[in-house]
Amino acid sequence: MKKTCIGTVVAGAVLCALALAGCQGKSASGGGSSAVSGAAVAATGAATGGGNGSQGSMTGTGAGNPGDGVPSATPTGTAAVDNELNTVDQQLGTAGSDLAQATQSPSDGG
Amino acid sequence: MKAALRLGATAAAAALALGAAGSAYAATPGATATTTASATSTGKTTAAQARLTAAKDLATSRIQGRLATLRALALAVQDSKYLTSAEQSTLSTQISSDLSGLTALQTKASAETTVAAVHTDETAMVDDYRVYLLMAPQVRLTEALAAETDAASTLQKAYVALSDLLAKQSGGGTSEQKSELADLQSQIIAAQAAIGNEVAAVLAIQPGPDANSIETALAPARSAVKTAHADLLKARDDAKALRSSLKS
Repeated sequence: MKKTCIGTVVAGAVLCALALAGCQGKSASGGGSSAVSGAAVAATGAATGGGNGSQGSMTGTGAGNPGDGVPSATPTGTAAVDNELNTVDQQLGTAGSDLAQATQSPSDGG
Repeated sequence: MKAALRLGATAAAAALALGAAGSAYAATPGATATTTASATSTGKTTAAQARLTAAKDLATSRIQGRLATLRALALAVQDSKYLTSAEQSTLSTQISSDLSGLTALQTKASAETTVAAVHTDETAMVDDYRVYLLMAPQVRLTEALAAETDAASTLQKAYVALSDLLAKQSGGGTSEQKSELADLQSQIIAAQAAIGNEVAAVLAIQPGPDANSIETALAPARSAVKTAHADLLKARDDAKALRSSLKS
């Protein structure tokens, strides 16, 4: 009788342990899967956001909001040429002004 | 310009003081006929003191003019959008050294006891620093060359963009457009060749007593800046003409 009781209890405990292990396994499996999926989503979001941020700072036309998925306004074609020609005008203006000052006659004995 | 005006005004005032001192000295012999030997001696001493003071005032004004110019140059170097960090460092170091040296020279000149010593200090003020003859042109020419280097780089980007746009035109653009594009590239190359290594040459020039040799050493850089500027203006005009011939 005692043996039967002990056997029942042990068998119950083993079943219980197996059941628990099974539940944990499923749970772990489910959690793992969920975690991987979530990580992939996060990685995708970070890559997208990083990409936009980079584009924004490179072109100087406004840093894109990380992860907003909206491409920044990079001047292309004729607009890019117009921007560059405006910049050249400034650069040559500075060079011309400097040249004028560098060719002035030195005063007070030099 | 302001510094030059201030210097001119101060120097003129100092010259008037010197003139007054000279007049006082010249008037002294006439006074000797009616004064004692002691009074004459006192008058000469006073006149000599006045000459020394006037000489010091003039030297101080000349040094202060240079200090003001150096401070303006320091700001120009610091605020430049075109100088490289190495160029900024080299120029800033030289300007700081000159500021320290001339400030010390001003203190020395103020303490001199003879006019001859003050004049020696003034010679050092010019020959050892050459603020107007060398330092100012060094800063301006270096920045001009740096701005032109950047302009050549920007025009090269415009050249690439215009090449792409032209390639999309029927037949790759008209013969005039192709000619403008080719000239744009040629002018950029010519400007870069003119700029060459002139910055290093300009920064290597040292002050000294021979003003002509300093002018001669600066001449190639001045010529290079002019040539590159003209080339880049032509390149810009080519790019603008080409750009205006394309649809937006």
